[in-house]
Amino acid sequence: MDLSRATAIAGMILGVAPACLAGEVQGVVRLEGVVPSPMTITIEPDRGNHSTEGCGSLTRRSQQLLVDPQGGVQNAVVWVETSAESADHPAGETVVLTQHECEFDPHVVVVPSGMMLSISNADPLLHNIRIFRGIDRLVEEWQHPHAGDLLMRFPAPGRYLVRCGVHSWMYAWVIAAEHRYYAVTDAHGQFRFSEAPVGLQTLYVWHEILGEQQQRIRVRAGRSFVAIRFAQRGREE
Amino acid sequence: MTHRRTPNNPWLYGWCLEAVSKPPRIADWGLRIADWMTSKSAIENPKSAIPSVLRWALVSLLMPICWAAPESKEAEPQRFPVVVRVDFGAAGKPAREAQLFVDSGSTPKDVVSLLFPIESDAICCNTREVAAIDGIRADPEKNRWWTCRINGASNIGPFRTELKPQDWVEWIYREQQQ
Repeated sequence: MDLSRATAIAGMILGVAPACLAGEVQGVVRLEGVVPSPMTITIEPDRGNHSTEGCGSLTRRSQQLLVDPQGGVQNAVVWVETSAESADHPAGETVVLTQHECEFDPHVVVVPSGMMLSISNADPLLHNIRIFRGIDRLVEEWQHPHAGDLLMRFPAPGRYLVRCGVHSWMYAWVIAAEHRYYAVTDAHGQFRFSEAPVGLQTLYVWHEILGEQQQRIRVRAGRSFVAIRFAQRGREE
Repeated sequence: MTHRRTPNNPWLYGWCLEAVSKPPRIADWGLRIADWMTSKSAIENPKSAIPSVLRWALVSLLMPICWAAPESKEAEPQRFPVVVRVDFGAAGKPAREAQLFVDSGSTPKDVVSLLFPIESDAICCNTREVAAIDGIRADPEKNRWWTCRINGASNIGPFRTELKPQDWVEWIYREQQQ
């Protein structure tokens, strides 16, 4: 038996996988109980300092908690806590966050290690980008229509909040990832890692309203499936 | 009544002392005139001084003007009443309202700092912004912010706009929809 194979088997037994062994993980994040109806935002036109001409519909669905009829939770961030090393993405690659009809799209975006966030303005009006980490404001930039994209490299891994200083309802979450084993759930609450480190891993899930939880999973060399359930909870006051 | 141009002129100094007890602008003018009237250069070198008749004519003209002059802002800040209301809104603390006497040039930020401890930080654009009042801090995640109005108008600068007598200042911890 050669050394690399022996190491891989030992790693699987001990729950510590070498980086060369990876398996696919598919899963779903669900909310237990009655599916809540989405909250609606009603925007007052041209009130105060903000212009809403070009914002599209002034009545819209809040992005805070989106749950499909089967309980699938959209916009949850799922990641594997691992010590396995993953290669950085090539420098210069970007993840795009677009301001369209006075809404950030996507609402939650992962910026893998080594990549930059590019924020664009597709609206015919002025936006004011503010990026926070916790209560600390890191960035404040005006972005005119058709202006160049704002490129941002995040100083440290973590969760960042992007807001528009003109349109108070506009916000998005940016996850600056330590490694590539991160995913965001789709409209049905589903996620997928094409290659997660094989072995016993801790899977974390975070949602802006539902909070955070973790679950131990065993990643196999082939395909693994995991279901994560959140209990109902009210909005924090 | 005769007036002698000597440093010890009791009438002039008496007048000046009286002026000292009046509003500062008057005292200031009185002392300046007294200094001029009794200056050594004028005494030691009378030729360089303005003829006494002219001088006294000038003094006679200036004194009533000085007495009648309005008080200077620089000399003593004006104080006036304003009403301040702090509404903690979503933070769940009881609101507080008070009438305060403030100096001219005071801003809404100055005024709220008389009622509660505040913190300044760049929530938006400037480190002079009010970030927290009585420990309740702006919360970007919950979209909660301190907003300020003067007499119901929100297009003001909380650390720039100077208040006027009887202004009604409101600080509101507002949660905006998202």
